[in-house]
Amino acid sequence: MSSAAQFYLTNILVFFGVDLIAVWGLNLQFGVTGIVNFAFIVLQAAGAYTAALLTLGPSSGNGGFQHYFGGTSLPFPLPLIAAGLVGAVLSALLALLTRRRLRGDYAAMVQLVVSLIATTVAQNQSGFLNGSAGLALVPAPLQSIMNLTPLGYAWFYVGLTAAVCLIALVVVRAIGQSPLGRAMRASRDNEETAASIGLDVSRIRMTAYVVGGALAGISGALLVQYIGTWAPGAWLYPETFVYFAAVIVGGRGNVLGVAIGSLLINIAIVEVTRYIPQFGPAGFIDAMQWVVIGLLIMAFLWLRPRGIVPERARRYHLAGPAGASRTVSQQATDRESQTS
Amino acid sequence: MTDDQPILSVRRVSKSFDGVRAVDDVSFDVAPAAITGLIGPNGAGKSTVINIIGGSLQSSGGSVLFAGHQEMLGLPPYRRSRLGLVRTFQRSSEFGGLTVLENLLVAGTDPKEVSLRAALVRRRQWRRDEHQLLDHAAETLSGFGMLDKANDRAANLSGGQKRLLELGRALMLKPRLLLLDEPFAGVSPVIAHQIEIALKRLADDGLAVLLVEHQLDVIGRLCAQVVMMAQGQVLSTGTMEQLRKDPEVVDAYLAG
Repeated sequence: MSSAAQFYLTNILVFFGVDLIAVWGLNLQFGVTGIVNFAFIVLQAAGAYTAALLTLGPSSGNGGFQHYFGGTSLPFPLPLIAAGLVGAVLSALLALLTRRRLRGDYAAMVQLVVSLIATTVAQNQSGFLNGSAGLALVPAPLQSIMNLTPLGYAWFYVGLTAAVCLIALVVVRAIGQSPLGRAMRASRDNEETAASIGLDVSRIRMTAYVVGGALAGISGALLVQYIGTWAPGAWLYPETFVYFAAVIVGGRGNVLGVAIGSLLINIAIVEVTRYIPQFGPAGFIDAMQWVVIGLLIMAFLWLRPRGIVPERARRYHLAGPAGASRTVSQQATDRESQTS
Repeated sequence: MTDDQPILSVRRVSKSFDGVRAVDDVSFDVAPAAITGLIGPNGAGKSTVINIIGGSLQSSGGSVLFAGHQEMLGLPPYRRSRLGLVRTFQRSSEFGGLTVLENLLVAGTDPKEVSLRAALVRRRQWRRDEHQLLDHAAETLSGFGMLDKANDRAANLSGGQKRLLELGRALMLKPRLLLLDEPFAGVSPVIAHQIEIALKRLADDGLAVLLVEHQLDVIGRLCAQVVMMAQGQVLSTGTMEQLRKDPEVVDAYLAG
């Protein structure tokens, strides 16, 4: 494979890994627990900013062309871990913001507004995150001490991303199979009934917020340390809907399904359109991506609401208890036949 | 607690919606190891009372004492359920995306195991407890003749089977008092009969039940004590026989 092709491939693999982690986080919130979090992209952005600010040196470096706070030059993997923590804490705050008296649709609206406010603040506070120009020259983890060729480093980063993906997969699968995952799905299906059988729904939802937020933050950190820049334009509110599209199309609540959804929505649509020859006004094909994603969401909600790979319930083999051969219904039929 | 002490004492409970008094100064007792009926015409306030006892509605006053000493008002619904006061709902309330068996398991799981810690680091423990839980769930399903439905999505059950599932799920919590809000509504005669037999046996085994129901023949067969409500107030209390002879009750409800 030519090195150009390898660069292309490593890029796609890293982006896919980043999207996978984020989509698994959103799936835990939306697919499994039924939380409609329209500020999801803010959590990924917060993770990216955290990692960038902790990896960069002081703002006065680089000739002072960008202005930000922090700049602590922390070594890998501390920025990655911190990004996960910041995503989790911010997500918990989002949960608290919408916890009381704000259910479902109203909470989603509040979070959409939070997303807009966050973008506006980041764009206009120039000394905070360098305004709309964003942060640049974010050092890549371990690159300075590894002495790899650019291509070698790209493959190293693919491996790093894969390792983090694997950890994320283990976590979301362990949750999905556990009593917690079952309780999350129960609170999604019927909140009031869940409370009536002793489930602390607020706490369960908070757990989904926190774990999903941590995954979003980590995905942002992995992305920013690879591409080296991060600006408000990368996390405008519609990006949240791209991840929602991946979850809806792939199959809400199914770890494999949303991975396929992510491959289709986050990767395939963008990559395929690269090869369509430009026609019409400038930027026409890019704009059409949004139309296609919107249409896909609608089509799936109408025609296949459970997605490409629907959520699969765990099946058990039950022998039936010994001595319980006569059921209540059999007794009932016995009695009826006696009386008639 | 002695045997004849009520398992639940509702005292002077009231509730207004936009100035309309839906429940007005209601007091009654629920006896242990027996089925107490709660009857009354539509709009009498029965469901409101059940919702206040279960915790999904706040009372504007009064007290609901459980097991002689525990004040229920002010506790969130999930705490009441964990103490043994378990309710069902008037409308179907299955967890549709879960299987029938999972509907039972999710209710039977120890709340301590519903945590991130249990999911990630203490996996051996909940897996071990799950075995016992499966036996208990299989026994419950088999008791209702639904063992063959164990792995079906609950959303695909018939209306009557959903009622059975709700009852089975409530029993997985090992309740001390069961609040049943019209469990016979929209249920075929065969399943209604199944539910009736199950309730009778549960009461014989020591469970207390508060049963909201419109079918008075069922109430007459099952309930030793019946509370009759009308227009937000308790009109009369007694056996179904006594209520049938009470002119005030006949006027408000039975003559219809």
